[in-house]
Order: sequence, then structure tokens, then C-alpha cells
Amino acid sequence: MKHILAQYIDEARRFMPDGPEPSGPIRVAHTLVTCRIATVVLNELQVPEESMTAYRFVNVHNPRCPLSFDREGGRWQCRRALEDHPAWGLNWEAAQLVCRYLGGRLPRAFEWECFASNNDVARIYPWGNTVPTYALANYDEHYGGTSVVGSFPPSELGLYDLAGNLGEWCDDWFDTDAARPQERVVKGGAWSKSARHLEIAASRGKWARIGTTTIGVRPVWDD
Amino acid sequence: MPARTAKTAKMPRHAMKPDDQRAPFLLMAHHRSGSNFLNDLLQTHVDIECLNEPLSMHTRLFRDNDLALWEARDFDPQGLHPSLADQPGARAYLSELRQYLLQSRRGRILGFKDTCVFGKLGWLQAFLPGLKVIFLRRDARAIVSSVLRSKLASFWHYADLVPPVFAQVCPGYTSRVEPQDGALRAVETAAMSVAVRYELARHELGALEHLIVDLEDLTRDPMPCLQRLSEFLGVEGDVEQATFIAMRQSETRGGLFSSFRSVDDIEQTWRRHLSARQLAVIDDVMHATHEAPATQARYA
Repeated sequence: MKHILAQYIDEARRFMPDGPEPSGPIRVAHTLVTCRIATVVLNELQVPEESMTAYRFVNVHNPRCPLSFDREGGRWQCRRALEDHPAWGLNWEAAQLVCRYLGGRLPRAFEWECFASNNDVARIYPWGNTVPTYALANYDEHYGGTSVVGSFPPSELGLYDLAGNLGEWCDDWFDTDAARPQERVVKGGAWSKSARHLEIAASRGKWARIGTTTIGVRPVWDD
Repeated sequence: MPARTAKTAKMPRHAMKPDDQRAPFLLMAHHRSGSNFLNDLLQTHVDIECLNEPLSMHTRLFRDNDLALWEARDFDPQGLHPSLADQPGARAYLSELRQYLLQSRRGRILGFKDTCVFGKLGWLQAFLPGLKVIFLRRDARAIVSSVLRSKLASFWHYADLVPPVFAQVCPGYTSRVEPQDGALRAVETAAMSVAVRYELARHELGALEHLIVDLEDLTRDPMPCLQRLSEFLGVEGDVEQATFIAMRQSETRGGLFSSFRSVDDIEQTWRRHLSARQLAVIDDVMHATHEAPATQARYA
């Protein structure tokens, strides 16, 4: 199964962010981490079954979560029909764990904006400035859930689902004025979120402890 | 490249001062009563964050202990609740949740929506001092109809959990449903769930700062409801919220938990779905609760 991971890493797109903070060249995963990839990583890392009362990484307590632990086989698994859908239910720590196993990391929010816009500060959406339609992205409940990664037109860098499908955990704290920051920045809109979340500039903060139905993972690698 | 800004970018705007602190809030509702819609609506406001069911969808504990009474005297700052004595993971999770929600402040009002909190408001008030509660109600017939269509009753353990509690709250109730009539029994059990939870809310809410919102009012005449919600949470109105309501009620779209529902679907589906016999059973159950002595809700 490791070849799936190697292929995923190989397909990352080279990019040089031209942003407000210093940054070197990076490679950006062309899709969100799929359920298939997440399952392989969780098994390679031998992440144990989550507790029945509280999870550490994967929200197995949501009955719709595509990832589950097969107690008999002692392995993580995903629903077959959702193998190529982006993985959700991973909290920020799990997102970081997956990225690290793949040799990468979570993007900084400014890096995310740079690669989503291809360094074009005037661009509103990854595809340009035309208003969103459900042919361009999965948002506003048009599809009622996640969709197979790569179902919508890619950006000119060849990156899929930058707007919609799932939001994307970023490395940054969201609310840095909080006495003890506990929220991380999420970018990129989601299948159930409204059109305004598809804007490159839009950010939301989410309590990092939880894995939700609308947030996934896109690793980047320092080149 | 200069930094971007957008309305959804809720980046920090001011340092925390003591008078900036705001109590966290709870949006509580029976299952299938529009709480996803209100949750999404609240989150549309630039200053509000509302976690989606951190108790019942991020741990099994509260689903398994649904309708068990947790009172203020059960709370202790370290152990949190006697039921958690052998649950260090759940204790740690809840402590983190508490720490997070108590950071609620002007410009970042934090709260959560949940459904498995009926009978636990006393404990929650001790767990989250100052907790403010928004209680979202809906017509019991519409709730029962939606519960039946969503086939979630078994996930929520209704058959096991609800009838024993209902029997304590309404000891005088006599069922007219034949034991072998499984379909009608399911209607009765779902109605009992509404009756029990609303009765518990009636008894518990008086001790907390609270606001009752009826889904039907929010649907038919949203602006006054929005105004009351804003005042209750101490935020200014956000024009995005009115736009959100108009959009989400323009048509029915998406899956089981979608907040895109036409007004007609919200208000009329139960009329098309429930038979006269089913409606009579719901009526019997709800009537029994109204006639129950007030003290019956404090069941053991």
C-alpha cells in the first residue's frame, strides 16, 4: 500500500509562495488526503483504536465518519464507496500526524492563499473572479456531502478542491489574542458551507481538538 | 503579496480585557428540530462560533447517558462527574472543552449546540459557569415525523431510554397502542421523547439565563427572532444572517442534516406523512405530560 503514498507525494505541485512572510519553495499536494491514504497512514503509524468515550485523533463517534477501526483485523479501514473522497473526522493533531508521516507539514495560512491564488492577490476564487457555480466546486449542499477528489476543475497549478468539498486545516493559530489559543485556521470552504467561504481570503477558526465533517488535510513539503 | 482580508476572516482585533469576557452559550434542541439550521445561522455571524454537538457527536458518553439526570451537586472541578471516575480520556476531553468555551469573549462568542443535554443543565451550569441557553423548540408532530423518516431512533436508543423515563414523568399515562403494533409504538416512543425532554427543559431552564426560540417563528418571521438572538448573545446584528435564511429556505437541498429546507417542507411535511391514528397517539402523549404534576420531572 505504500506505493499509494509515494504516488501521492510524487504528484505534488512545485510552487514558490510570494507572500507577506518569508518562505522557500514548497510542493503542494494536488488533492486533499483521501480516506484511502488516511487509512494507509493510520495503519502504518499503528494508531490504536480510539476509546469508546473520547477520541484522540479520529472522530469515530460520528456515525457517518468514513474511517473506522476494524477490531477483528486490528486495522483502520474506510468505507469502500468513500475511498477516494477526502478524509474528514481528523482533528488538527491527526492532520499534523498524517502530514508528518508523509514527510510534509500543514501549510501556513499565507502559503495556502498564495498557492490557491497562484500568487495573484487580486484573485477572489482559485479559478478567478467569476461567481461560484456548482460546476466549479462542491459547496452550499449542492451535493449533500463530500465528493471524490478531483471531481471539479483544477487550478492552473493543477490543485483540486481548493474551494469547497472540505475545508483545510492550516498550521496557524486562529485567535492569537486568546489567553490560551485553541483554534486553528481553516481555509477553503466546504460542501455544506456557503459560497462566501470559497473566497481565497476567507478563513474560519475551529477548535483544534475536534474532527469535524467539513475539514480535511492537504500537506505541503519544503522543497 | 499583501495580506488579504475577507468578512469571514475573524482574525483577532483586540486584546482581552476583563470586561470583554462573555458567558459561553448552549443551543439545545430535540433531535430533528432544526438545530443544524440555527447552528449554521449563528455561525454565519462574524463574531460567533458554535461547535456542533461536542458532547453527543464527539464522545459516546452523553449518548449512552442520555436522559440520566446530572445535577449541579454532581459536579466537581477535578473529577467533573461521578460517572467519569473510570473515564480519564473523557475527563480530559471535557476539561479541554471547558477551558476552550470559557474563553468566550467580545468579538469571539463561543458556544455549542447539543441534543443530549436534557436533564443535565444543572451540571452544565456548574461545568460552565454563567452558561446561557438557547432552547429551540418545534411542533412535536413535526419532530416525530422527522425522527421516523430519518430512522435515527435506534441510534439515539429511544426504545431503551425513553419509555422508562416517560413512565416516571407521566405515571398516569395509559397507552392505547397495541404492543404488537411496532410502527405505532415507534410513533409513541418518539412523542414520549419530545414530551420528556420538553418537560425536563421546563423544569431546568428557570435556573439559567435562557431564550426560547420556536422554529416556526424563525421560519415565518425571522427578523424579530434574529434580533432577540443577537440581544441575548450580546452581538450586533449581521446582515449575512438574513441573507443566509433567505438562501437556506429557498429550496430543499442536500442530505439528512442539511439546513437547506423550504418553508413548506419545514411546516407541512408532517401533515403529509402522519396518519390520523399517529396524530392521535402523539396527542395522547403530549396531553399526558401537560397533566403531569410538576414534581414528576425530577425522576430518580
